[in-house]
This record gives sequence, C-alpha cells and structure tokens, in this order.
Amino acid sequence: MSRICGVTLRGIEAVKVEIEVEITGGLFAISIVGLPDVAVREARERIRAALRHVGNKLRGRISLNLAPADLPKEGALLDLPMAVALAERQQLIPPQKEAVFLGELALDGRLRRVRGAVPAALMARQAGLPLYVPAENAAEVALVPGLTAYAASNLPAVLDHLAGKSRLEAVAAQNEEETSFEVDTDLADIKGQMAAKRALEIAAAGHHNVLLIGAPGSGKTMLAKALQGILPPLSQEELLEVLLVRSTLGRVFSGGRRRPFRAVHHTASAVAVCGGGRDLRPGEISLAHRGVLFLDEFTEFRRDLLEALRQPLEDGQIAVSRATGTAHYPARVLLVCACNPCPCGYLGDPLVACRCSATERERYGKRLSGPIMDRIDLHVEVPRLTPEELVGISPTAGEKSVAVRTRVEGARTVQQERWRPWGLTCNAEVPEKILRKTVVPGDEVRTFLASMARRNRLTGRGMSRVLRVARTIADLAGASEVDVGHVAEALAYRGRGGDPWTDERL
Amino acid sequence: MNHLEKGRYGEEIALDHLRSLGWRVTEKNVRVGGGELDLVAFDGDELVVVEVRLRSVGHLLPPEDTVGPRKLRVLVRAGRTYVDRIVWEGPWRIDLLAVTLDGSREPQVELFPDIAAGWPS
Amino acid sequence: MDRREALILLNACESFDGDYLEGLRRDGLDAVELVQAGPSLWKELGLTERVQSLLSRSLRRHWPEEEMERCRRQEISLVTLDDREYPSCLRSLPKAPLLLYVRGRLPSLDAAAAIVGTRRCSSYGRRVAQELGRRLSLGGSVVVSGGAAGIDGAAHSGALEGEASTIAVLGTGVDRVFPQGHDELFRTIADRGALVSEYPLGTEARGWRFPRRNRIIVGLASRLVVVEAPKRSGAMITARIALEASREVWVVPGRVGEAVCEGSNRLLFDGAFPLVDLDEFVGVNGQRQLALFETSRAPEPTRSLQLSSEEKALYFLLRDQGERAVDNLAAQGKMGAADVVRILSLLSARGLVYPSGPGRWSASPEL
Repeated sequence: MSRICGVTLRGIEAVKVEIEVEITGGLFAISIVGLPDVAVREARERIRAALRHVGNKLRGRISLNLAPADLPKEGALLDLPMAVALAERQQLIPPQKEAVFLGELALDGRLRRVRGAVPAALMARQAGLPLYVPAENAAEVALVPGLTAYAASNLPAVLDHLAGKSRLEAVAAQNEEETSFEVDTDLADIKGQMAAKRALEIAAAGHHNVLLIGAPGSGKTMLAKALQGILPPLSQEELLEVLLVRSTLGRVFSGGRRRPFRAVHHTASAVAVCGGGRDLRPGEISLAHRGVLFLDEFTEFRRDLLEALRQPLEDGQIAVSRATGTAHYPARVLLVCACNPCPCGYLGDPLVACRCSATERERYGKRLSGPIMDRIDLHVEVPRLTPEELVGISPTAGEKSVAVRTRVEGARTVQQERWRPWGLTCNAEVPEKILRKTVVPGDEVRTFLASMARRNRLTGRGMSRVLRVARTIADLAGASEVDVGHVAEALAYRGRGGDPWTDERL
Repeated sequence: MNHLEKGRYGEEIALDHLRSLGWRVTEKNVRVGGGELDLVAFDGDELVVVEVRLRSVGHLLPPEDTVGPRKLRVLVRAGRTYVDRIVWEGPWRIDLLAVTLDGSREPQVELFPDIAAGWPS
Repeated sequence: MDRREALILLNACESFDGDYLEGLRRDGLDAVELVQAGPSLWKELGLTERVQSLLSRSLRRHWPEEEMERCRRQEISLVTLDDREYPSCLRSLPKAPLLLYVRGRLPSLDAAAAIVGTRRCSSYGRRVAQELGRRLSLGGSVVVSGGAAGIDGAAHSGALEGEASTIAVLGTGVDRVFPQGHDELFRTIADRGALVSEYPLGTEARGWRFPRRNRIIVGLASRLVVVEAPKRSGAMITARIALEASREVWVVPGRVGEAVCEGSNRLLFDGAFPLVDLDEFVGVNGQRQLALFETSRAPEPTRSLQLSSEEKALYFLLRDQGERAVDNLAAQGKMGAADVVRILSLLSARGLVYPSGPGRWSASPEL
C-alpha cells in the first residue's frame, strides 16, 4: 500500500489524494485513473521526462490510481507525488512513510510553484504528515505554524532526501511577528475631508460598511484606499485565512499583516467577483476577505451582481456551486462603495453646475437602494473642495493613519469584550434583536432618537443602524453609555435612503 | 549490390551493433500477423523489437524519419502478437536502428530507443 | 344628455373655456345644444377636425356617463362652472376652466397664496419655499402650487406642516402621480386639502399641459410668489398670467448670475414685489397679522438661546459666512471633525442648519 499522497483542491479545502502505482509488462504506457483533469493527465509527459532526467527509465505498462476515485482531481500539483510514487515503486528510493507531496514538474526535473500550498499545509498539519513543496512555495508554507515541511527546488533533491542520501532543510516556521505594516495611502496625505476621515475611523472601528458620495475628483478612491491603513493588523488566525485564499489562487503572498484591499470595477462578471467558474476559484470578495472590498461607481453595478453579493455580505462566506461540486469561500469583507451624488456628478458642487433633470436625479436615487444598501451603515458625503477652501484648512490638520489605527484597535478590543458572550466581535455584526436588548440608551437619548425618527421618517431598521453606529462612536470615545452626542453624530451618517440629494434633510 | 543484398548487408551490420551493446538477439525476420519484425533481442530483462532501417547517403530523408505513424501502428500490432505468441509478460519496447551506408566508408549506426513511447497499448 | 355631461365632454376636448361658453350664450346657444348639434353645425362653428371627431367618438361611447361613474367610484368630485362650489376667483379669470376634477376638498380661498418655481431648484430655494409654505399655513393661508418636483413640492410639504389647507393643481389627471416620487405627498394633500385638475381621469403628463394648468394656479390664489425661476420656465409663464389677471406677484430675490433665478430676478426688475421677509409677507394679508408681527420682531430668535457655546459658534459661522464645508468649519471653529459633525447634526435636528451639498452645510435662512 502506497503511502505517497498528494492533494487536490475543493474550494479552499485541500483533500488528500493517495497515489497507487502498478507496473506490468508490455509496451511502455502510463495511464492515470481517478477522475483526472487534463492537467493531471498531461502529467505523464512531465513525469516521464523528469524521471528520465534523474536517470530512471520507465518501462512497461504503468497505471496510476488517484484515490478516492470519485473525487475529481485537478491541476499540476499532483506531478510530484506521482513521480515519487513511481520512483518508490521502481525501488529508486526505499519504501516510504506516509507523506504529502505537491509540486509541478518541469521536463528537466525542476519543481515549479503551485497554487494550493497553504490549504495543503493545513491538511498535512491536521493529518500530522510531513509536507514536501516546491521551493517557491516555501514562504507561504512557512507561515503555517506547527507543520513539518520540506522545500525542494527539483525532483532529484526530493528523491535524494527520501533515499537518505542527503537532507533537505526543513522549512523554518516563520511567525509574522511584525504587527506594524507599511501604509500605502496615509490619511495624512489626503488634504481636508475631515468628516470623511472621521467616518472611515468609525467604519474601521465597528466594521461598518461605508458609502462615499461625492463629485468626481473629490477623492473618494483615495479615502477608500486609506481605510486599509487604519484597520487593525490581521490576527494570526485571520492571516492564515487570507493566506488560504491567496494560495488557492496561486497568488504570491505579500503585505504581512496588512489587510487586503480589492477594488472591483462595475464591468466585472459575477464569477470574477463572487468566485466559481469551471474550476471553482474564489472571487474578488474572497480575496478581500478580512479586508476591504471597494465598489467604485456603485450605481453602475448590475443589479444581479449586487444581488449576488448580498448573501456573502450577510453570511461572511460564499457558496459557489457547479456541476463539479459546491465550494465555500470565506467572504467577510468591509464594503466600501463610492458613487456620484447625481448622474453628472456635480449636484451641490460650488463650482460646477449640475446638468441633471429632476427625473434623472430621481432615477439615480432609486439605484441607491436595494440589495446592498441596507447593509451599509455609514453614508459619507465627500465635498469637492474649492481652492479657497483648501487654503482655509490648516496644513497640520492631518492625522497619521497609525494614530487613528491605535484608536480603532482600542475600540475593537472593547467590542470584542462586550460581544464575546454572543460569539460576535464587532458592532456591525450585531443582529437587530441583540442590539435592541443590549444597547439601551437613557431616557434623554431615547426621546431625542424618537423625535429624530419622526422628523426623518426613520424606519425601525434605520434606527437600529443609527444605534449601532452610535455604539461604535461611544466605543471610540471610551464611553460605556451611548449619549445624545453619539447619536447625533451617528445620525449625520444615516444617508437619505435613496432619496435624491438634499431633498429630505431640511 | 541489389536492394535485397543491401538489406541483408544492413541487417548484418545491425546484428553486429546489437551484439556489441551486449544484447541477446533471439530472432531474425519474424513474420507475425501482417508484418515482419526485423530483429528481436533482449536488452537485459526487456524484450526489444528492433526495426532496422537502411539508407544510402544522398537520400532525402534520414533513416529514422522513415517510420511514420502508420508503420509504427503496424509494428506495435505485430509486436503485441509476437509477445503473445512467445508468452512474454515482461516489459517490451520497440527500437529503431538506423544504418547509413556511405560507399566505401564505415557504415554509420544509430539506435533510437522506445519509438512507440506513449503509444496507447 | 344634460348640461353637466355636456360640460364634461366639452372640457375633455381641451379647447373650450368659460369665455367660449359665454360667447356661445350671447349667441343664444347652450352647451348641450352645441354638443348635440352634430358635425354640420360644428363645422360651421369652426371647430377643428380633431375636436369634431373627438366629440362624435365620445358621444357614441357615452363617455361622459362613464367618466362620471369613474369619478364616483374613486371619490373624485366634479366641480363645473355652474356649481356653487366653483371658486369665484377662478370664474373671473379669462379662459376659466369649464370644470375641475377635485380629489379631496376645496377649501375656502379667502387668503390663498400660490408658490411656484423651478423643478431644478437650489437647496436654498427649496428651503425658502418650504418655510414660506409653512408660515403661510400657520397664518391660515391656503397654499396653492403645481405639485411638481422642486419648489412646488417643497411649498406643499411646508404647508402641510402648518394648519391650513393646500391645493396642488396638476397637469395630469388627478388619479395620476407625477413626478413619480410624489405618491405620498399627493395622498397627504388629498387628505388635508385638494388635488385639482381640469384634465380627465387618466390624462398622462405631457409638456404642453403644464403651462395651461398654470392659469388655474393663478386663478385660485390672490397672490403669487415666484421663488426661483430660470429665464424660460413654467414659473415665468405663471407670473405673466398673474400679471394679466392682476394678481400680486412677489419674488424671492436670488443671487445675481445664477441661472436658476435669472428669470425671477428679472421679474423684480420689471416691478414685482421683492419678498424680503417671510413673516412680513404672511402678515400683509394674513389673518393673524398682529400676532405674527410681534413674534417676528423679537430681536434675537429665542431658539438660539438654548444653544451650547460650540453650537452657537458653528451656527453663527454658517449664518454670517454662508455655506461651509466641514473642513473649514473645523478649521475656523478650532474643533475636531467628530465634534463638527455631531454639532451640525444637533443643529439640523433643530432646523437651524441644513446640508446644502455633499459635505457642505448652510444656516437655515432666518426667515
């Protein structure tokens, strides 16, 4: 019984594949059974060439069985285990203990980088098996603690190691201790926009989804990017989750503990955003897991795409089904949407006159409602500042992202403490029921809220959103109770619920 | 030398070459099914069907290129019938031995192993 | 066929009015006779082909009876020129409508004021229209407007905050909602006042119908206020009709060089009354003249007395310097963004400031 294992990916999960070899007499031929895809079937050419390169000539009829037989196998990452299994069978190496191998073979025996190294590492760790990966995958595997892994740059090195002729260096577990990270877009680099920056701070602190509304050129994209820099660093666990998705897509890991930021264009397909496709790959929303997903030109997004985003936003994961099976990908993102205030973009602008008709504005306003909007807690208006206004702002006003991040981390700690009994971590996640039960404001606040609700036609859900944001504002201020000031500020971010601009809030 | 004599001459050279490699030649010109196996030899424990190709210098094609897919299919079928007939269950393969005659000079011999590799069997 | 049915039918042709009927009467001809005269006489009377075919088609289908039945079912009253409820101020108008479809109840129109303006108004214009509507309503005046987006809508919703009634004169059938977002507004107006139109039920919005209905707006009110009107706009047509009908025309002055008030400012130049103080305007003709004068003459608005010092600082900054972005308020008021946002929100809760653009705030006009 062979103990040589490989893996295949089902979603972001690696499934162990046992390789069985049989060689009989006859004219030379390799056949691979066990639902291999084209990449796996083509492996026979690579394996044969690579083995010949180490001086082994295959002969006879060779059957490779990939078990379990009913699981579709995909990708070139099974090259290495199949080659090792063949080598073992031909007694190039002594019989082996159980181990997991992955790697794509070049014709000359080199090992190429594969996608799925991290899922494989997690699988190997759980099964308590040693793992052999291509040298190029060593860095990501190193970030998985508690695992015995060896990295090799070619097939001979692996075989020599297994034969005991020479030793491969074990991959040293590398703990990403560095909790500080480089900030791409620092808040301090953005001139003005204090209100928006403040809103981003609240968003980061309570994990509230944000909508930025402003004229073209007002700096919405910059602000969205800056959000990445004020979010707390990824925890060890979160880092692994992020790594897992990246590795599944074969992306190089970089950025340390900085949270991911993914911008999606409105022309993107549902598959690109949500994941799926023939080989069930994760989409942008999963790449943004534990980080920021930015939807610019929000009003241009197709309705069906937004509809598809709703479920993952609620569940924090996305299920993608195809004929080949169902895969679950993580998709806990902080959503940042941006849009113009009206079709031409200049409604309310001090310098450029808006050219839209009332009907156009109304139709536009309607697009700002629907599936995603009720998941957005903060509506932030981003003014396009005139040169005079820019001059009027003191140059030292900007706070560095690091300073804001410190406050955000503080507020997050408070929230984690508070919501631990319910298994929640931040205010934005708290369901309406629990929120109403736990965030009970005093009489004065309640009177104020009630009067504002009447005045602004706030629905019950809208009230909860205000309360949730107010709770985060209080957390940022280190206050144990929500007071009128917190609620007042929260009300300023409540948005107009799809009404055309400036209409309602008179 | 007519072409038959030439063929026999080429096979002589081939035979010598294989022997010099240490192979054990067991049969010559075996008729099986619809084809003929020029030489059958053992390379260690592997049975080798050797197709000998003879060409004079000046011909357009080098000898190794004269075995096309159709000829290869005939060879594989004949080889399979042969190993069945002699009840050989070990690995076997088909090699091409190219012999190039160049007038008075030493004939050139080149061996191409396993020309049917990857052929569905 | 009775006279009522005849009027309903003639009205639906969109080419007859009170003046025509009066001329007819002088010639000794009645509306019923006109309708029943048949094609030969119609032709002699100079009715157009369109009207002729419309008349004969409608007669064949018994359209007037159907229309009356529809109105009954939808609780829409029909007020014809002959009825006692027909507003007398409208009767004296040239080209008075033959009848009005009324959804709701027509209030008494002793001190009605019309507020009109562009649909694409500034937030300032909207604000003034609403506040004016509210004050008029509190002062007991009926507010008449066109039910359109922009100034009209603001005037209606302001009036609904007060006590008096409001009338929306529509350019569509009273069973239609145009513009789309006004369903709720129209429902409330029908409840508290009246939706009025001369167009048959089911008439859809068409550009030419709106200027025509403007004469009814003018007819129902004794005074007309133009809040914001560009040079070529419905509001300007309304103002011209009002001048012809010798109604007072008041204009809210706008900024020079802004297209949205170019027309209305031009009216001022041409001699319209400038509206410089809301309470004064309300008081000039309102029923609670004295009381209003007293409150409006208070030296400092009492509401600002309860403000905290921070609130005062921002409020006065906005009031004295006009629109400001949050950044500038923070810089000038020496506060953090969170404080500025919080205070603005508190101030807007009291109606003292309002967002006048993305991230920009203005003080509510101390009207």
